[in-house]
Amino acid sequence: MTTRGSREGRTFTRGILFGILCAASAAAQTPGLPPLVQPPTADHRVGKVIWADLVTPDLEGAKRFYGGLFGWTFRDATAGDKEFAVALLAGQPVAGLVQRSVPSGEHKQPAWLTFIAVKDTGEADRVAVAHGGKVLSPPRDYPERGRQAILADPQGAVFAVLQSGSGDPPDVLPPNGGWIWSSLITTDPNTGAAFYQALFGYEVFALPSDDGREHLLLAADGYARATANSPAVTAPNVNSHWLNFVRVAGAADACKKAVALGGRVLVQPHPDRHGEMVAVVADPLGAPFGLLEWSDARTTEVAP
Amino acid sequence: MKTLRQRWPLFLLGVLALAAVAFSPLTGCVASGGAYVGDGEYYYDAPGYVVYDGWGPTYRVGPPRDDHDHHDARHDDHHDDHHDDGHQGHPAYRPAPASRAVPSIPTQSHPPPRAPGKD
Repeated sequence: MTTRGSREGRTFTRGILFGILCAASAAAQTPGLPPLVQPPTADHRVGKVIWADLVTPDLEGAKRFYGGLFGWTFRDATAGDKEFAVALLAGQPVAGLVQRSVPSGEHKQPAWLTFIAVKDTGEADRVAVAHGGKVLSPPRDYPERGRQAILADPQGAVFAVLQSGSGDPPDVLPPNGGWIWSSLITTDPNTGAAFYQALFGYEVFALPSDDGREHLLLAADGYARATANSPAVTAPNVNSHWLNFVRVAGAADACKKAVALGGRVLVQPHPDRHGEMVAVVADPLGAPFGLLEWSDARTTEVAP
Repeated sequence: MKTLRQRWPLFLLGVLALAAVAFSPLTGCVASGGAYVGDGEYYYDAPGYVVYDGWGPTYRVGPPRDDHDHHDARHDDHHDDHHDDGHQGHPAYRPAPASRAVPSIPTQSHPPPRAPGKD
């Protein structure tokens, strides 16, 4: 009995070892989301935009476009029948690209999803709901990345909150090709600013405006984090949304490149309040994003 | 061969046990139901929202530079300690004190040291 028992034990152990090999192989083929900060820190910067995910029905096309435009490289991953890729800038994770098919017969707009830092995703959900927001996807944990949820503000703008498990990225000027700015285009900046202030504790500054529109600056930790802006035109089909900007050396050149890669220019390059150029483009599937020049030396600004 | 045939259920049990643990969401591997891209997790925006007509030099959404785009000079004439948002009534948000300069984005290439307890 003893001999038979020990043989069975060895067989079970071999099975365990074989299982480990299989699992390790599978895990190597399906890497998860990378941590935001390596090595991990305990620093949290509530209200800072710390990540962006593109939701698109054409992952390969998106990789060609953004790789060609910004020099991003990609690390593929899979999840069941869905796919995603982590975009890298100089080897550092900069964005996620998520493959999601558009159901036949539906017309949907691919878009970038903005992730904003929180210390407690569950608490953020509660505050959002208490101030007129909606929870579109409840908090979920992702190994290495942290805990995230997808919300909508009272005007319907969709965004995500992320409680990073590795701390939030430091406050530095990103290199060209990195996210530098975010703007909320909203039908009600006043109410929108109150919502985001309740959620992230923003300081809110009214910015000078000579276009008759409302522009509010949202700041945290002594840094500008975003603006909340009335739409440039009053139209019934303007939905509130977040728009993220990538730092570029030249907005005009980047626009030409975007067009050559199959994108469209939605807003031609023009000077913004910091004295350099901004533009808005759409990728080949229509997802909009901004381009923003920010040179280190320039100090001039546009006359108000 | 006989021994292997007799013990394959144990071998299979070991493989299944490890596979179940390895593919659990708790371990970090992706699996249906605990995957990064779950059904209903991501939302496409509604069509028709890409309306950027009217953007131009007078419509500015970007960040100010330090000391170059302070808040509206109208506020300097106010005797209260808050910014005026341009509304006729009180704004829905709490305006930053008028004494506060409008901040800019981080411009340093390396992170500055953070104050203790600033986590």
